[in-house]
Amino acid sequence: MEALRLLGEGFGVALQPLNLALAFAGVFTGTVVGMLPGIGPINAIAMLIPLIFAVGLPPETALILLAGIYYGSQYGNSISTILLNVPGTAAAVVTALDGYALTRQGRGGEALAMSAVASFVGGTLSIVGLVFLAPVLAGWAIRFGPAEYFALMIFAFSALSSVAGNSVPKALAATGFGLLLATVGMDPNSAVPRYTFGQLKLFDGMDFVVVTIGLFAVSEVFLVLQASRWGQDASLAYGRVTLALADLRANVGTMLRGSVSGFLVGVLPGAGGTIASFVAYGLEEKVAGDDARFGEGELRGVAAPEAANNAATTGAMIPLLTLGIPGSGTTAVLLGALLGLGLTPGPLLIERNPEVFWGMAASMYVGNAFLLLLNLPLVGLFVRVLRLPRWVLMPGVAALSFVAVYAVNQSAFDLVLMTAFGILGFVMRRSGFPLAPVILGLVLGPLMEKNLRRALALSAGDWSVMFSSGLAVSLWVLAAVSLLGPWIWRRRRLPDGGVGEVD
Amino acid sequence: MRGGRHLAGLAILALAAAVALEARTFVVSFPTDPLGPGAFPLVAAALLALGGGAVLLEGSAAPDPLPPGALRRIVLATGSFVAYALLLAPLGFVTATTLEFAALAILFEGRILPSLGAGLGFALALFFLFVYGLGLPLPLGFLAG
Repeated sequence: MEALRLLGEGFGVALQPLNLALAFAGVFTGTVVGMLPGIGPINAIAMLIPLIFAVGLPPETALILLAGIYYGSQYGNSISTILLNVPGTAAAVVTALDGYALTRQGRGGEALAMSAVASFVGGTLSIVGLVFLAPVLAGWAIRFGPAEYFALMIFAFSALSSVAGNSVPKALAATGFGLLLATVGMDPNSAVPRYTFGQLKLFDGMDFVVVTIGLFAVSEVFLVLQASRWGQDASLAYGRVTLALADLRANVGTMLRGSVSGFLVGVLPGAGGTIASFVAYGLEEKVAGDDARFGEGELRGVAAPEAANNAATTGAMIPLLTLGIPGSGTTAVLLGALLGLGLTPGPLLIERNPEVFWGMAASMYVGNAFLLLLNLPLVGLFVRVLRLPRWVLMPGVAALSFVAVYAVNQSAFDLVLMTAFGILGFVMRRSGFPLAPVILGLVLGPLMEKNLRRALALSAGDWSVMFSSGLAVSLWVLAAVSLLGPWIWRRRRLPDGGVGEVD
Repeated sequence: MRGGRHLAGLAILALAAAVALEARTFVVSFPTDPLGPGAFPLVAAALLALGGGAVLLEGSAAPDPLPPGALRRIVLATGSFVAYALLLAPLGFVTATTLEFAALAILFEGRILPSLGAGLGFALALFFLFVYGLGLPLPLGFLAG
């Protein structure tokens, strides 16, 4: 089969020594940042981007490294969840229910092993879906014109706004703010400077690395600084990290269901690992019926969400690579990296840069094998990182932020800008504004404006061109439904629930 | 603070208005670009206005008050970030980063000597990794002079 032959060539790329080493570095870093509460893959990826540009890594190598951090973080996030009941990322929140219950029963080792195996199953099975679905979607998207692209981006924004945080208005405002940031600088078409306040440093626009690190990493330092106590001093006794063969066999169905549902949810924009793990957990509760004791230390309650959130990560790569549409903050940063490397994610990416797509797909198999190794026999190593006191960890995060931001332009101005965005991110998080839509708006904004202006140039200023094809209209309808649907549905379900009480 | 519920919505609406007003000054028109540079900022302003208006209507609960001492720690940390930005070139990367790391570590209740030690170790590790490992320039500061 064609796909298998191309995947074989992808392994030729993935197994080159540098790519192999960076896949390992990526998944290792991913496990660490996925595990540490608050650091997160989005910061790690944003911090590495200036280094990648400066060192001049080839695009396929860079993507192998950055994707490794992204899917590796889904392994790591369950470690702190299971041992400390502190989810590394939101995608592991569900795992805490049964994972932490198992730890309290002294069966933390079993939960860790189950989580690693389920992550591996979800991570590797979903690559099959990636390899077959991505070329199909690319072939379909090739018919998209500027009006369809614009509508598609609107869909991505509304899908993210409907799930990010708990207030659609706040998410919309955050999206608008991101789009505003995207317009800062010299307009590429007319050379008019916009919102630069006469600052020459802003003529090139807001660098998304500076904004991301400020909003996410620096604000995290402030948040932890605000808290008087941090995390909890757990004894971290978890026993041997092994799994009985019978338990493994009993969870095969759970892992398969979690992988499939997680992958499908992951392909949708906005949804991602968090929703995937909730869906898989709910599905498994239904399948199991009454005999299972979910929430009290049920291994299936670990296997389902962990298979699902890893599969969702792979699924999220599909719209990113074949449409150029990220569905989350982290994939938006990945898109920024790909654009900076001179790639154009979209329907032609697989054809024009087969080494990038197939190399990444193949390296995901390799990376998942590394991850299984890291998360089963070597998990003790990571648990030691969890014991780092915060007076070492947080200044370390700050210092890494400084270095990464300074590497963008060697500019002290960027460091001050980063600090300002850190304060802004801190205020936004405290007031319940989601940050991911800001990054999505900042990264997609220029593409969106380009497509809007192109569409209206082709139609000589006639706005009806935005709704002239059936495809564009259906995307607008999808956007409206995804934005308002969940909101109306939640209101109907809770007739008396005042706004703000809806979780 | 009864006004707190409406603060966020009002701030966003004010931003939207400022953005829209400024966008009206971007008037350049080419036949190949009927929209010009002003249209897309208006899209952003419209979203801000829509979101801000809705936030104003539903009200945004004022965040919990900061715990005692938190504001002081945050202001000190912010000051240290800005100081770092200004002192990086004159002091050089290793010195500035050691001091900044230690200052933050002390804010996080680290003891003084271990904080300085960890800062120096971290700064040296980053310096050698970047300058010799990756070939990226970092300011040497007075050590080079």
